[in-house]
Order: sequence, then C-alpha cells, then structure tokens
Amino acid sequence: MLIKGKDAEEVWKKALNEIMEKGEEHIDNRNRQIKEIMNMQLEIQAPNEIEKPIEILNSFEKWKYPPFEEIKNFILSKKNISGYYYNYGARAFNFNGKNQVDDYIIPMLKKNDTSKRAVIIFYNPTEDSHFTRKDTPGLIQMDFKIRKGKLNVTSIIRSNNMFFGWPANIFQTYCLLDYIAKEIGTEIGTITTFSTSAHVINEQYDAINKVLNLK
Amino acid sequence: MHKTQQEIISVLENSETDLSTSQLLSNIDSEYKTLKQEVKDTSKEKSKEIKLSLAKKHRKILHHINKLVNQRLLRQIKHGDKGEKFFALIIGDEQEFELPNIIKKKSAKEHALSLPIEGYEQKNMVMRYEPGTFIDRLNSLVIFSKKFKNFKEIIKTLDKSFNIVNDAICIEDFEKFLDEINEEQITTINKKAEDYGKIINFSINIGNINDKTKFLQLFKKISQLNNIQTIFSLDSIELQEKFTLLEKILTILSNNKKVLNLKNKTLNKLPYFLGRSGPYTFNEKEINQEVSILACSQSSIILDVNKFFLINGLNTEKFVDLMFNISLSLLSANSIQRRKSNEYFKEVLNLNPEEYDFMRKSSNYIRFWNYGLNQPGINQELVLNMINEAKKKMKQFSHDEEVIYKSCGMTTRFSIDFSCAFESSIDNLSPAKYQPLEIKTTEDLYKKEIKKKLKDREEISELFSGGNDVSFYPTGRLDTNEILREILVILNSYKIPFFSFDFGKIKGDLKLTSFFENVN
Repeated sequence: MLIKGKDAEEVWKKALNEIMEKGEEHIDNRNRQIKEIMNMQLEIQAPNEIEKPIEILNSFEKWKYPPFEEIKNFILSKKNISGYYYNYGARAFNFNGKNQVDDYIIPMLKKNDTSKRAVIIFYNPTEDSHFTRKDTPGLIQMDFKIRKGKLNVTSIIRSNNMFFGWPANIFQTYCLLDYIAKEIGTEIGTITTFSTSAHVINEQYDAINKVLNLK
Repeated sequence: MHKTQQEIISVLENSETDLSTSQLLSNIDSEYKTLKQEVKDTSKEKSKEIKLSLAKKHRKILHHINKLVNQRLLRQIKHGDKGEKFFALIIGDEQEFELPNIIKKKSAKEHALSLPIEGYEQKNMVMRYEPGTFIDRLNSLVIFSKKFKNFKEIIKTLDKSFNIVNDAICIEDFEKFLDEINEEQITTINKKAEDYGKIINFSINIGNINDKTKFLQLFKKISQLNNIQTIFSLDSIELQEKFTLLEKILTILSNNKKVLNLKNKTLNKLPYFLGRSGPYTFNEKEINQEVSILACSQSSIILDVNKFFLINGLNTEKFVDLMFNISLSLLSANSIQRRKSNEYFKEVLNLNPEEYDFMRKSSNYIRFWNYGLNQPGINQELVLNMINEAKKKMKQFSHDEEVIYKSCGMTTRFSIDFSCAFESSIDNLSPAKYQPLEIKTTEDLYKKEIKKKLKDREEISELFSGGNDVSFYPTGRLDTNEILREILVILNSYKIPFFSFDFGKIKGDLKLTSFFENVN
C-alpha cells in the first residue's frame, strides 16, 4: 500500500485513517488489541513542517512527547546514551566501530551521486537477535539516493506505532537526512517510510479520531 | 534582562565546561585581559591601581552572576584551587534549533526549565528537592558489595559517587568486608559524607554476621557518627538466632541516642535505605544483582499536603491534577538528565557491564509531607482514597510515556514512586501535624484499635512504593528484651517492610513506653 502526500501532517492523517478503516484487528504479543496493515509505504514529497504531527500530539496535553532536542540527540549522538537500551545515533555512527555515516555514506555519495549502495543499518543481529532481548530497534535501515539533484531517504521500520511512533521516526529520519544533505551539499528530497507492521493500539483510538477530525 | 547577564548566559551556553568568574570576565570584558597582562608588566604602584580596577570588575560581574543564580538560571558548581567560584547554566541545552520553515528566537528565558509546578512552588506547597542539582545529580544510588573484591574498591566508588548524588548512598551487604574494615576508614567516610552533605547507609544482613566481637567494636564507632547510618536486614528467624547480638546493638544505639533501622527481608529483599529527604527503595520484585552500582532515585519533588488541604480541602480532582503537573515536571527533568547522563554520571557508568544498566531501575519521587495520617479533623479514608486516585493517574501517565518513548524507538524507563518526606528534607515545610500513637507493652500490638492503626500503616507502605518508614519511639528505661519482642510481632504480623526504633527519647528509670508514628 502506498500513500503519498505533500507534507508530514497530510501523510500521517491519511495513514491513520487507512489503518482505522481497513486495519486488521488482532491481539499482539503484549496482549494489546491493535489494528494493523502490513507493508505500508508512506511518501512525504516535501518535508516541510516535519514537526507538525509532534506538535499535534503535544496539543493534547494528556501526555508529553519527547522534546525535539531529545529525538534529534537520539539519532545524531555518536555515543551510546546510558539512559536508553540503545540509540540510533550510536548504531549509525559507531556500529561495532564502523561510522556508517561519516566514513561511508557521505564520501560515497560525494564520489558517486548515482550510487544505490548508501545504506545505514541500525539492527545488529549479534546484539538484537536473542529471544530474551526485550527491546530491539524498530528502525532497521535507512537508504539514501540522490536523484534529480536531491537527496531522498527511505526508512525501513519493522514495527511502527503509527500514532505515537511515526511522528518521531520521520523526525529522526529528517535529522539524519539533513545532516548528510548538508555535508554533501545537496537539497533535501522526499522522505519515505516502509513499515512492515503499521499499527495503532486500541487505547489510542479516541485520540486518533480526534486527530482525524482536526481541520 | 541586563546586557551583562545575557552575555554571561551566552558565554556559558557556548562553553563545554564550567567557567570561573575570571574566565567569564575574560570572555565578556575585553579590557579585563589587557589589565591582567598589565598588572604583571607594570610598576608596583601602578599595579596596585590596576588590581583595584580588576577587583571592581569582579564585584560587578559577581553581582550579575548572583542575580542569575537567584533566578535559577545559573548555579555554582565548585570552588577552584584558589577559592574562585565556578558556574554553569542550570539547563545547558534547552535552546531551540532550526527546523524547516521555523526559526525560533532564542531568549535567555528559554534556558530555565519552565515547569508546570512553579505556581505551587511560589506558595511553598510544592518544592524541588535540592533545586540547584535537581537535574544533573541523582538523589541516591546503591553500591553492591558483592561485585567488589575489597573494601578499598568500594571506598573509591564511594568517592566517585559523592559528585553525582545529592542525598544518599547505600552500601548493600556491607558485612561482606567486615574483616578488613577499620575504624579509620569509617571515620574518613563519615568526614567526606559530612563535607559533601550526604548520608551513607551501611545495609547489613544480620544473619551473615559471624564475628560478633569485631562487628560490635566497629558498630560502636559507627553509631557515634552522624552521616553514616546502618540498616539491618532480617527476618523473624534471624531475630531469634541473633537475639543476643541484637540486644547489644540496641544498647549501643540507646547509649548514643540513635535509631535502629530494620528491613523485613521477608517482605522486601531489595535495598531499602534512608536519606535526608526520606526513605528509598526499588519498586521492583527483583533486580539484577550482577551490577556494581545502580541509580535508585533521579529527581524528587516534595509536596506539603497540609498546605494543599488549607487551600483546596480534600478535593481529589484538584489533588490528581496537581499530581499530573508534578509528573510532567519530573518527565521534563528526566528527559534532560537522560540526554546528558553520559556527561553527568560518566565517572560511574563504566563500573557496570553495560552503561545502560546504571539507570535501568531508577525512579523519580513524589514525597508527601503532612498528608493527614492520624491528623485530628482529617478523614483518614478520604486521604487514602485521594492518594490512591493520584497514584492511578500517575501510573497511567508513566505507562503512556513509556509507550510513547518505546514507539519512538527510544526505549527507556520512566517511573514515579510515592514516598514520605522527612522533616529535614527541606525548609519551609508546615509544622508536623501527625498525632503519635502510644504503645506501652507488646500486648498493645494485639489491641483492636492499635491493629487498625497499624493496618493503615500497611496501606500507606503499599501506596508508598518508593519506601515508607514507620517509626517507634521507646521512652524510659531501656528493656532490650521487650523491644525485640515487639519487633518480632511486627515482623510476623504486619506487612510493614521497613520500620525503625528511635532511641533519642530513652532516659531515666521509668517504665518502658513506646510511641510509634509514621514519619510524616
């Protein structure tokens, strides 16, 4: 399933609406009732106002979303941060000693702007593929491609809570996209996410309907 | 805001380290550096004149620094070698950054952590514990002796911990190194704890003490010290097995007018200890003991419930709203602390197999003072119901936040626990309102009225998942046998995981009378 939209808010609302209407209901491994669509692809054509879904979530005042600075730090911090089980930044910039961004993606795209090899992997089978491990990265990889002079990114997400999680995921994706685009001197293109499990949890249905009714 | 104050903030914001008054001056006053150089090169008479001018500049900048400290934008970090003060921004990285189509203007105000409890703080109803280090220090941590080879290693870890904690440190299984600990080491620990303003807890499994003579010799010394306290972990069988030893411990404590702290290990096997602000424990069934050091509490907020009652009465809805605002505030503080944890706690993070382990079980505290327990004119059931409702709301909030963070891929822990506050925790608390209950003999513990009151304590101990301390105050002549029998009844009959006997009131040759009260 492919959903396209001009900005993050439009794409987010379309995706939520699709899941609420057509999502398959079942009980997940944490015993929560969810609605799920498998293999959902979302494309933000112009990543302006990428923070809008987060601002909408914060307007509820019922909860507090992680601050932008914290989300940004989570993806751009090159070191492990002791307060989290893992952080995407350490996986991107120091994956078993390999800096996938500064030592690979950036020089490669500078050298060959038609490359199809600019991939960052976040999932580490050595650490994450254990039955006993409770928390493993949802964001598996990012793929960067320069086309028509713009840097486009696709994030592959294995398990994606589309209400609470996706707004942060696209912001994280944007932060890394922006970092790389500045380094190689290109414009920012599209942001695409591919969620193998795009879902929402029943305790969020009321809030989702409120978002969908926002003008 | 004055231009100089804005410049101070700007310099500190761009600095990776804390800065001294001189360093701040060098950065914002171009003439200062020149004068510093001139004072070295010039004649003695001229030098005196320049020094006066430099001193004037120092006084001027200190005036502005103090204003910023009072506004809680800055805080003093340390004194340098020559006694010079070093300063840092209380929040170093709250500035906005540029987003597409949005360029937010930075202002000095954004550097202060604005919390939805400030209105209550102005009324002295809600207070941050140690506001100056509310974010960049933990309240408490536990050092696990089992993971150390000798006591000297523990002392080294303790030294590192003084810088990152603003209340209490617990050394679990202290008895492990009993053979190698000497009085001098204990005195040094106490001196440092005094200097750094910390409480050190030695948590001792009474059942593991084999060399009674050596222990009692050391314990006599410990019980004379003010910044070290002992927590004895035991069950009813160990109490009977170590009856004689415990009698001697009681006598030593009584002679020094000190407190006997007891953890019922049948009810709680995890560390349970005390700080200036109140008790601490882990709200878990079990914790991984394969670590050397664990953060226990991150940030605490103290609520003077009596002040809330005076303004709002027993209004559950308003109380729950307040709890929600406190929860939001703790979450904001946590967010920054977590982001900066590698910097704040770097000295201890590598002591565990994984850096994440250090804060894996930590929590935040809401501490209640004067919450109406046994207070004349206050409906006990309504109070308990109010706290219960607040706890439900707070649990839901913590759950939602963990779901949000997990959904963002940012798996972390956010937990809030309730506990009581000690009177010593902070200034400006309302006078204690609780009514002490009197127990004259062990038999009193079986009386219907007392049983009901102890059941209330049980309920409070259940609600206060961050720890509760039920205190008994023996008065009159010391009867160790009688007190140990009272302890046995409490261990066997009540779900009170932690309680204490305060011997501060023992005196004269009177009949034994015990008071107990919830430390409120």
